[in-house]
Amino acid sequence: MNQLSLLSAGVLCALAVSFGGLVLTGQVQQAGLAPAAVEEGEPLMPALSPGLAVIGKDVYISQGCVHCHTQQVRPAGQGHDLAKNWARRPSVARDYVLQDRVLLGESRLGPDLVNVGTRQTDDAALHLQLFDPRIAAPTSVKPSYRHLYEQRPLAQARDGLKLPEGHPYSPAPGQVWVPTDRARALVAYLKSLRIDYASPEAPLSQ
Amino acid sequence: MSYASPTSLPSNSLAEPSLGRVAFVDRSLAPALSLLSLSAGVWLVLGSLCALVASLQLHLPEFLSSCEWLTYGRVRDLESVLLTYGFGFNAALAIALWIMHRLGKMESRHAWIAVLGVMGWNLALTWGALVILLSGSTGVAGLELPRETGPFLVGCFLVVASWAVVAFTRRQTPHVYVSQWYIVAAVLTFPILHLLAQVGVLWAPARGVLLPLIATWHVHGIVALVLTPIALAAIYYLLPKELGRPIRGYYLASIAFWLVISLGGWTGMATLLGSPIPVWIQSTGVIAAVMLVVPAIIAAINFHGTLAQAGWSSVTRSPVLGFIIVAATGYLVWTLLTVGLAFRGVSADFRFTEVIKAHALLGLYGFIVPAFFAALYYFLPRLVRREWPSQALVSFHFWLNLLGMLGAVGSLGFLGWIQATATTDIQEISLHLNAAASMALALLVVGNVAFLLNLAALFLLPLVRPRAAQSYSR
Repeated sequence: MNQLSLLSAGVLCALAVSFGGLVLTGQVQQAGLAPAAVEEGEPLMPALSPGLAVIGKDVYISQGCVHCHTQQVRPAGQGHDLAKNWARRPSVARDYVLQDRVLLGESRLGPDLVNVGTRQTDDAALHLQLFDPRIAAPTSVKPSYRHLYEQRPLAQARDGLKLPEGHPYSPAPGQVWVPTDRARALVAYLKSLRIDYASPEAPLSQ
Repeated sequence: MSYASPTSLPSNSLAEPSLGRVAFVDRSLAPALSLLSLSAGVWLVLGSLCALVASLQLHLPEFLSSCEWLTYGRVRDLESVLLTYGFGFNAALAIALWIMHRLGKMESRHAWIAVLGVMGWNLALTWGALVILLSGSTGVAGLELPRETGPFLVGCFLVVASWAVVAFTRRQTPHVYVSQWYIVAAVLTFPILHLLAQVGVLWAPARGVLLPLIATWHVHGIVALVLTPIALAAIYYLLPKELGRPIRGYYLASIAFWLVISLGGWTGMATLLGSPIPVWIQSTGVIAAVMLVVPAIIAAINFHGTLAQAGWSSVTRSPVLGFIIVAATGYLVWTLLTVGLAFRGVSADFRFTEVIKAHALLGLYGFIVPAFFAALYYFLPRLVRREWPSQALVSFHFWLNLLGMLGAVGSLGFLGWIQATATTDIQEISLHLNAAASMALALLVVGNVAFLLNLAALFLLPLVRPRAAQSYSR
């Protein structure tokens, strides 16, 4: 073992075994997984995301949202995720087959978002939540994403934010805060996150 | 298999007249190691600053909130990149080169090529860090840097690390010491691990949940198969030198080595318990993690056993020894916590809480950072043949690192405990505990700045006072 060849053979073997055992075997097992319908004639799920949501996912990644939000609901017996009514079933591998970046997440400083699209459907509320989370929840430590919003003259704005009176970032007179394209995409992405469909591996609970 | 008696290692005294070959060995490495250590110091200060900013934002959410570049998500990505690839790899390469050349009694030839490799690594890292700062990371833990940096980083790593491998193959000494095994393992593993993960996650993404699986394999591999081996190599090398006695139960070290190397690729899967990946993969991770108990116990016999023989009071002999003991104890506690957190029931409660962050901080500031600092504080004066400009700053750094680590791990661990068990509102106490963590992280920043100041003074002093430096080297 005092020769480089023997030592490196051992080391590389150890690495190859873990790669083969985990990644390659996982690949063999998972390669056939594809969107599926629970009953014949139903739509194949998961479905492709709308284009704006795909762009929004890049915004989600670039803002580092994954540091505080998970996108997975664990099965019963492994934590109390289901008891908290985040979703009507646990996440399964099939839910992620169409994604080329899977953001499972490691920390739950914020709520799980895998099914947020079913809970939060109001664009205006989501935008306010991103602009200043402390409007809705004064003790929240969620960062403000004001840089995703810009001030526009009142006349041009379709969907200006309705900030409460006396907000420290109230717009200049005659102006209003409106979401930029990035904010709109991010909200579209959040609303696209939902596991409210049954999967062959996980039927919906009632 | 033959083992070197650790007492036959090259002499460790600065003023030793018979330095002879060792002095040439050190001098031939000086440019590369100086650049590596200085880069490590700068990245560590920046990385720990990012950690502090992120922590402050968890109790002062409007802190720096008007600047997109410094929002929580970005800063956390930067923290991870700068501490791992900035501090961790620069320091690890410095330690690897130095130990390999010293143990092999090998002078390094053409070391300027290695210097170019170090420059390339740090340039690529700077560029990648700027991209993250300005436009965000890839969103994959451990692979945050833009994918274009991947091949470049691996190339530069190979250039620098090949000097360590050459020093091993052409060594002038017949026996091989356990530190050399660990270093060979680390430098062989990183390029393959990193390239495979880069390809599987960023260049040709695998399907669905295989992505987090590969990313987890990679990020835990970086810690368990690259940084941990180098840190253990440093402890195995320095402990007998500082105590002047051989490692107790040295024959066990090879068992620990093969266990660390063969389990390292698997243990990370235990952190995915409950995730939508195949359950058998999660279970193999649990088994591998539980088996880590064996190398942890061997490390305790090797490290704490040697210390017990030397007398516990010898810890106070030097800051280097202090750092070694913190690192050895940190490794034991951190590994046992890894085992504990791998149990299904424990993971069910504590996964996704701040306990996980506390565990990572313990591994970093309780094991890897102190082990690396023990080595840096030990070899840099020998390299430039001058004492540290301020011994007081060295002790100051030691205590700040220890207090900061205990404070941050304690407050975040307690917060995670509350998150897992509380049934009432925990907003109020979270703010207090995050504030405590910020204070502890601030101590770590100050300690790291103290190191950087001392390091800068060590290199710059001969330029300011050339005569003083000359008289020392005689």
